[in-house]
Amino acid sequence: MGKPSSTKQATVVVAALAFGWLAIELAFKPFLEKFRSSIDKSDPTKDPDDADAEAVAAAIAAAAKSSDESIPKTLSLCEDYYSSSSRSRVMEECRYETSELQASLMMSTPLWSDSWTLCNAANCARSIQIQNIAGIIYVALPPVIKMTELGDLVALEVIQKGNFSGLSTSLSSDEPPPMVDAAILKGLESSLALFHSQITQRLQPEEKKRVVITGHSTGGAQAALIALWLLSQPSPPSFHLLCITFGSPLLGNQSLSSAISRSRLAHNFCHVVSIYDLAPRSNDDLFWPFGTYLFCSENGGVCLDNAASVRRMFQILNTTTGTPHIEEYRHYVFTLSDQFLKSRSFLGGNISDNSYKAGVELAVESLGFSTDHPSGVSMKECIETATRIRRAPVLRAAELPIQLANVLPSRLDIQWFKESCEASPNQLGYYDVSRQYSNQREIKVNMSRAKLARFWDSVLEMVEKNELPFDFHLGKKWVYASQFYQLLAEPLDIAYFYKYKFPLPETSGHYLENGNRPKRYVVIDKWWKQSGEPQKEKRARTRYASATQDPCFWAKLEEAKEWLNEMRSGSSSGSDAERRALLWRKIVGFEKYADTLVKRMDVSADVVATKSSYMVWVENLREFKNRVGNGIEMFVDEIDAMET
Amino acid sequence: MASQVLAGINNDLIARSWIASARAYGTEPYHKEETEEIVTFSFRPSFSEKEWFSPASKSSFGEIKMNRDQFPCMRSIGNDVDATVNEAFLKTLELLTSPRTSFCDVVKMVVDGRRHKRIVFTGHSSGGATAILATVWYLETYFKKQSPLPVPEPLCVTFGAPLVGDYVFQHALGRENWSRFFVNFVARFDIVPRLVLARKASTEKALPHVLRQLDPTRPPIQENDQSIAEFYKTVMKDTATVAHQAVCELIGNGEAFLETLSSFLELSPYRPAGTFVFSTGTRLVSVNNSDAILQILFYASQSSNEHELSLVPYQSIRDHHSYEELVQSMGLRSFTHLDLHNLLLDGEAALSDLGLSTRARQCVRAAMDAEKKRVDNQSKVEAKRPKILEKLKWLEEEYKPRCRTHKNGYYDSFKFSLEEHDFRANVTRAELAGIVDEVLGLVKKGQLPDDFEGQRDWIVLATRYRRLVEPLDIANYHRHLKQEDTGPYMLKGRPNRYKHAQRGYEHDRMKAGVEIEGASCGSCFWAEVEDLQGKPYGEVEVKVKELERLLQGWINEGEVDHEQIFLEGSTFRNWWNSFPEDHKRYSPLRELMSETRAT
Repeated sequence: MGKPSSTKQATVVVAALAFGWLAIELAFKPFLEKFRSSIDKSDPTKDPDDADAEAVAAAIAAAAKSSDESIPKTLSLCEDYYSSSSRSRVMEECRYETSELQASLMMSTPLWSDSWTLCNAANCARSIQIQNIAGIIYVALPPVIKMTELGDLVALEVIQKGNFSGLSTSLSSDEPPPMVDAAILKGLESSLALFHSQITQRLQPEEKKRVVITGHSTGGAQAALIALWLLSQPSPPSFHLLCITFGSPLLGNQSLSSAISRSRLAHNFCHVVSIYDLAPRSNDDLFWPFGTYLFCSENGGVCLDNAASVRRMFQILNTTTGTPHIEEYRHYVFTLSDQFLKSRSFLGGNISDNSYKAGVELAVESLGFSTDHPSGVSMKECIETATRIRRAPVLRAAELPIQLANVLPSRLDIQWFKESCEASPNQLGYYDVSRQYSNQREIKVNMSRAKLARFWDSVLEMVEKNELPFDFHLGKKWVYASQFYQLLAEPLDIAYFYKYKFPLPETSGHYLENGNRPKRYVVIDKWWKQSGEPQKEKRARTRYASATQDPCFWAKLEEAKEWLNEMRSGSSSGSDAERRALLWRKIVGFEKYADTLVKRMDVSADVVATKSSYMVWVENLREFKNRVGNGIEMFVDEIDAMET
Repeated sequence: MASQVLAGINNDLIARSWIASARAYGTEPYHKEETEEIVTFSFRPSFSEKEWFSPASKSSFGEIKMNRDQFPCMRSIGNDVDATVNEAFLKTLELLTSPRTSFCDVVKMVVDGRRHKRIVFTGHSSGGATAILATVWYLETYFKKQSPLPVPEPLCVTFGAPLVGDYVFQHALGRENWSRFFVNFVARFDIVPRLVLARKASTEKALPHVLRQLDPTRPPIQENDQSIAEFYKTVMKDTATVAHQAVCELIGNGEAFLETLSSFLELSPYRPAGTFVFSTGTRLVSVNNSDAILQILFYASQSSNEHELSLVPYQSIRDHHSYEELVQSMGLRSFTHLDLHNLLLDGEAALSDLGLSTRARQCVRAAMDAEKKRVDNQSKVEAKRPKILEKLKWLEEEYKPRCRTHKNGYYDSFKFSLEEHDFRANVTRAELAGIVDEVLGLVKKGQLPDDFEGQRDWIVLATRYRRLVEPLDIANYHRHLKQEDTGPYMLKGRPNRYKHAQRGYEHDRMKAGVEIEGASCGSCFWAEVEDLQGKPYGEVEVKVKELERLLQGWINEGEVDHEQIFLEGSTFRNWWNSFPEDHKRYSPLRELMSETRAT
């Protein structure tokens, strides 16, 4: 009975061990001293690397416009660090409008006409077309599936056996699973095989590996699904990938759309949609758009890149009736690709001298609507909202470094507490002090811990809701800052868990079980993994690390303590041999794991302080071994016996 | 033309330049004219494609990096990148300045004679490109260094010249305050300034034919030549992509889609540099914002209707031959300098004459707004100066003296961090790092005015900061034994803010004519010590001697504080004391060591 779980436990320990080293060693290499995030006596000092400097510059630049407030003093304790001022600033006026410019950019590139040309070839030949044009591999899928076959949603992972594992699931569990159109999904397997054999070999000679997957109508939806499949593999594709569809019907449900933007994949999709084409907006109650939409008329185009604005545009277009119904994309593509040759003057009378307003008016006209017309007015609002949504993340991100600087005192406080515990003659580290005592100092530290937790929870919530720039969590500054926060603060969270929550009857299980571990740490772990720092050459430490490299070390110890206690108390009975063998195996597993960490000096000094609970545990274990003597071998024999 | 923008330049000078440019047509390798005050060097254009795109070049736009030894100013200090220029044009300059021609000697005579107030470099078409590079060469050779006697100011006047350099090229000219020496005349539709914005691969085929059409010594073009229309379209299409991408980047919010799209595009690196004067039928419009010029280069060539569109391709060739007429009628044309104040979205005759639509004006305005933002950023940065000074002052006047009384110096005191004031110093260090990193971030992103990095008082402040605070960062690094898991400070641990400050300092010294010895610098003294100490003397003897030799220079320069490093309890002194007697006896530091001990 205990066997499967014991094996699992061992695996967990090994994996944790492996990950622990990796994470930690890396964690401390590159330095955390970024944008004053690190007034920190034990910070390793390294470069404020470029990525960071850039992030800060972008932040400053974005914030520069509206705020005269200089960054608050680092050490002045600022109570409400996520004040509402950041929210109001988000609504600041945008000075320029980019949705039409983006569309003009797209239409001036060779991508625009070349992808259509190949789509057209696929349409005529009714077979997949692959061609290398100026170093870019174009793949066009023919619309072999009829529009009438569409409309049934089916959950993605059921059929594809975890093939889309790169799509990140929601942190909230009440979101329905991502679903795609059943007919399109059915077609995926056959096109994939063909795709793979053809592409890999063609990419070989190219220096810059770039693939454009394209398709018209249902071919577009298939193209999008293939692109999604490629992008959501456990390891991302080794080439740049862009999916350009023409008049594609919607592919999946709202969960799929959110999963795609949450996984930061939306920017690989460009859906070209004629404002007269009904196919892309049929079924828009069950199906949701994702990626960038380029709406076009024969006058020009506009890019919208958030699902809500695209849906709004669908609604507006649904209410407009009649006018020319040219559904021929060829017409738009070639008319618009030459559009740059002619200047377009404003048609609707007086133009505003406000650049932004004028820009929006021009954008509305480029879709063939007049700003006097009711649809034109709605469209104007739609574009304005889209600009605000687009701009908000940048402004929010601009606030964050300041907020991070504001919570710095809290981190310093914990750091200071940790160091003073280590220096004190009591020989008890900060984990054990927090776990065992409640005094004024400890209460203050707890407040600092809570403050940091609040800050990071708010950051993670914004990331989760896509309220921050798409690559925010990959910015080195944030990866390191979060990692450093975790290493320092998670032991305290563990201490408080065992001190207050664990004894309560409504708490089930240990810190690492049943979702007791705060989600922020799970996410920070994930960021760290995603940031994909290559492991550098490892040098042996000559001194204990400044923070224990496995943030869950103490949680594991708490479990080990429980096992050993059980072992010790029940050692006389010897009734349940199987249970005892399991416990022993777990104990040995932890002993080995902890021993390795200590030998590598990947633990901080608090772990090996004379009176630390870890040292006590080691001593207890030694004692127990002595007492049981040969008994240990008995356990080992039992384990061996069970395995064979 | 009366304008402050083109200070010291009058119609006569421009007319003279044009005449000289035209006279250079048949002259190899340059043509020289002289008056009382001015010497003019003009260069012939070439209409052979191998002098536009180097046949050997494999790059998509025929570009190459400039050689840092030859052109030390033509780079970005913040990002440490050299400027990129067209390889073929650079080759022409190399031929010109090679010993095979008299050019260098003649220029030297002019400079040495010091009778002339001004040297003008000028040229039409690709001759203009040569003039631009010759001016850069002149600036680097004669003008860069502070000289006791006045060196004639150069002026570069081009007519329908192609773009020569990239963003870094433009930025470097701005940093050195040299942009003011470059004036480029461009007729509204002239295709040549736009030519290198197109990918070489897409223009290659038709280029020889088009260049023949551009050659003014050949018969005029046929109005029905379809290949010209095609060529015009190809160039303008790529120009559109470059201009749109640039403006999206300028005003956008870092949209992910734009980034993906850009990775699929090959975009020309070339950017306008200096002042551009666009000419239309009745008017001259000058602009000196590079981003704005780029937008105008694209939008001004748009047609307003089908009929115009059918004529513009030929106009784009004819306009390349229109400079003679431009110069002759210059007195009759009205002159407008374009800036944010007269950039209305509607109306404004100068803009309408250039054919700038509402959309175009918006983009030009965005470009100028970006410059305004850079200036705003600079005043924000300036506002931080007192804070920086205050912190440096605390370190200098309180922390350092206090550590001196402890007899081990501030490096060691900080490294062991036993006292409250060490902790405070650490806070100060981190706060300063925050401010400096912020400034560096703006510099690297190009969000400060181009001349910011060249400003003397910032270089002085950055140097003071580097000398004072870098030892603390080194101490911090070794306090946490980062050399063990990360690697030696100099290789792995040195923050960019110090590298950047050092580059700025060295650049400044270079212009003052001082060569700096060795790759490392004095503020890294402690890193060298930490790296060497603990290793057996025999192994590092050579390096120790080298360090001792450099130390004297560093002390003289002010890089290393000799009041601190020789203190009784300092790591350095203890280490030095461990050297064999023989070494100590002959060490250049022997006297310093005993002197300080006496005090």
